[in-house]
Amino acid sequence: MERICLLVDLNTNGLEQTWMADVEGKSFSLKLSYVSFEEVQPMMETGCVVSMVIFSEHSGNQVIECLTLFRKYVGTIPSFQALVAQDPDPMYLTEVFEYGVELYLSPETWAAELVEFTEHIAALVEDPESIESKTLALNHSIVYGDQGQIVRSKEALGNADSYDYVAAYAKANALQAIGQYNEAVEVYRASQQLNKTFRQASNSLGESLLVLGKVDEAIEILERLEKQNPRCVERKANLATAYYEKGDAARAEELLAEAESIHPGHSRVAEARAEILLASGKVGEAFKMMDSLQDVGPFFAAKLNEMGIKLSQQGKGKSAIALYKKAHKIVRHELKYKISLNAALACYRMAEYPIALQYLSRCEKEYGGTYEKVEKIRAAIRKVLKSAPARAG
Amino acid sequence: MTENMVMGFAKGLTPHTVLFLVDKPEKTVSLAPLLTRLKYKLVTAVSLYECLRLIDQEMPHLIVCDAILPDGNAGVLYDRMQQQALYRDIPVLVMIASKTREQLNPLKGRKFAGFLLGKVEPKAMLAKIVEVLESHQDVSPFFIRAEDGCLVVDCTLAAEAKVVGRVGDQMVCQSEAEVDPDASLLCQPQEKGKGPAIIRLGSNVHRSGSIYNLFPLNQAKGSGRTWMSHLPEINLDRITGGQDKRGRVLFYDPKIERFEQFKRVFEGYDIDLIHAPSLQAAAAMMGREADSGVSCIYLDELPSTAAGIAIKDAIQKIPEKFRPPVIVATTALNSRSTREIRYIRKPFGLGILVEALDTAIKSRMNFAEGAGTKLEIHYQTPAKLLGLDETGGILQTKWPLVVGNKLILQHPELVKMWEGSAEVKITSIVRMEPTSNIWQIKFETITAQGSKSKYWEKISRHLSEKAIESAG
Repeated sequence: MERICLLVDLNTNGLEQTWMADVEGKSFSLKLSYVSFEEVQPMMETGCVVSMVIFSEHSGNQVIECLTLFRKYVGTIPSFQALVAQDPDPMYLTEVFEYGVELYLSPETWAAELVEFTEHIAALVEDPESIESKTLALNHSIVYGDQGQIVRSKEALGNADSYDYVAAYAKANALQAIGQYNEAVEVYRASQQLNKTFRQASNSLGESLLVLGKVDEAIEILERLEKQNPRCVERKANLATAYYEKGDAARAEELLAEAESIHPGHSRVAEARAEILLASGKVGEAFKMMDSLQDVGPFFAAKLNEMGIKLSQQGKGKSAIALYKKAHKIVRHELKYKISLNAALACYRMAEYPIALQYLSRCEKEYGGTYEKVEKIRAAIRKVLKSAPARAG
Repeated sequence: MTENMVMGFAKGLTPHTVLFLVDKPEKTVSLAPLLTRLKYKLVTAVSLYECLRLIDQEMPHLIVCDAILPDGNAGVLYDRMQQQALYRDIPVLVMIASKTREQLNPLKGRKFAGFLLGKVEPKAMLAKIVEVLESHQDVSPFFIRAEDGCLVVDCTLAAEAKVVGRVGDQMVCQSEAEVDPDASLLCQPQEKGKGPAIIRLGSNVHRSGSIYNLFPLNQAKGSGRTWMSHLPEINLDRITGGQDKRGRVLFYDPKIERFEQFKRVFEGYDIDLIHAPSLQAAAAMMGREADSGVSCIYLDELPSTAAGIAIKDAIQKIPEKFRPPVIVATTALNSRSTREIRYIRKPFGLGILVEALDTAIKSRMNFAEGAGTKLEIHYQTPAKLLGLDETGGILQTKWPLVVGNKLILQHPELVKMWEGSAEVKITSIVRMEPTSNIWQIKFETITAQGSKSKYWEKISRHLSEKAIESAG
């Protein structure tokens, strides 16, 4: 497979015309691909990108979006990313350091520096035993694979999480993706201990604690990070959710307003707003807002599942199914199987057995193998279907 | 280490010895400071007899001689040198006073490296000397390439050290070598069962006659990071129940807005920044703040202007005991960290600055006496031997090393030639290109510290035997 290093031009000051001349005569170990901001996501979706160099003199939402896309599609490997800037200001340094990125190339010598940069990355990517290649594989499993693949990729990391913060972070992500939040929290903590300046681990730790209902600890961790960088929209949204859970709606609103002023229309802010609307019983408004969401994380996904189960148990099966249909569209790939399982359960409660079986099949497919809970519901349905004609007779 | 790393030899790497054979020693007086500035060693002989003795003793890289000598001429010198294989390749530059038959006849039929005619200005002579040495690739004329001497194998440079513990998130090692902050080193414990790790961004602290190297644990990579997590805290203040004081950094940045942004960011890391609006102000504040709890000084660039010199003077004036570490952010690609000043290359990432400030702050803490463990380790860096000369040789590495360090060169053939001794001393280091991570290092072997010619004869003999063996 072709390995690509994206050259993302956010400066628009003529690099499109000059970059080919800059790299001419130099040998790169990865294929270089010059792209504009709009082309970043489609390129990431090809699965060929392993590295990214952003040309931007100033920080801004586009830089952050590129880093977010890299985190999602490639993985959190700070050393595979770099920025080209002459004189980045402290806020710029701080915002990109949120993603662990701290390598800057000089605008004058970037092409020469890129030779070594790509050589180093290619060597790691091509070595099947390197932590980086295993991390890439694990992230690919989380984004595209099923639960079985995630578990296998996680196991391939071996004990690297005991000494490598990137491996530990990837493993914790995998544990979160397969729903083992308690274990994920411990491994995020390990990653944080191995590198106390690696902010992604601390952020995710805060998020996982929220999912587990440990709101106070989550707030403590997220507030500490907030002091060091008050411009991270994702964290502000998580903190807003945490404060709302704690009953401090005013602080939650304050944080969301700050987040919106930094990045208007950010999907994570909309997600937090939808969470709050749902929690405050404004289901219609929450549903409306959910239409604009994508890649919804574990906390809101858990809330949606919780609400669906409640509706189903109250005999409002149809409402539960409507909720699950919406939820299935917006949650992250690795969280979909749980929605499908709960939808099957809701159908079972409504005695809609054929539809329940369809949801179970979908769940199994998303899970990627035999899933004990699916088998239990399926067995229950079979039992009912078997006994129904007998009773009728 | 790949073959394509080799790209000729760095200029100025080999300190050259130039032997002047002149009838009057005064002739070299005006040239001497110019040669010294280029780190050349100047040796003077006033007779052919003395010259031959000095060739044997000094093994010069170039001989500059008068055409006519009190006890002979340049032709005689040339012929005598040709009689000895060892000295055949030393270039000889002849100074001809005038184009007379007496001056020119002895030179006929001999291959001199060049001629200087009439009265030559010192600068012109220096240019000619440099030209001749560079035409020999700027290495010693005795230099033997590793491939010609069948010496091409992977080798390692190593230094012995002891891990004594940690101060916060900094691993503290005691060693006899200073480390360069730009270097990545393999930390290899002697104890079996403890894995290795790559460590970087090291810094040096001199305390009670010992060198301590501090490495940020956050930057350590590899299985060795596991045992590093369990190192004992050796900060005595913390051990006795006290809290770490907030770090205070005297911070020079000419742009107040940038400073204000940095100040906000570092408050989150429990570091207080005190603003110095100019270098002059920084120099003045250094004296006042030195004994009042400033843990570190940060300067955005340190130019070679009066203000830069004032800063260096101010640093020197602070008693060593109170002198805080100085970090200079610079765009200059050739700046190298010294004991007093640590350079970080701009543009740098936030993590680099956070670690640099944290290391500087931790280096001021009371840890030396509280050493908790003595885990023996080696710092290692892979190297490629490029060749040998009469004092040692030239290596190529991917990381800079510190001049003056005594290290162990682990090379199977050299250890045999050096009869078990592997200690070398780094005498100079040059980065191949401003943006590359390829460094060439000139080293001297301890074995060659006696007679250079005897040492070199032994090495030459060994290499000849080895060549015969491999041909067979």
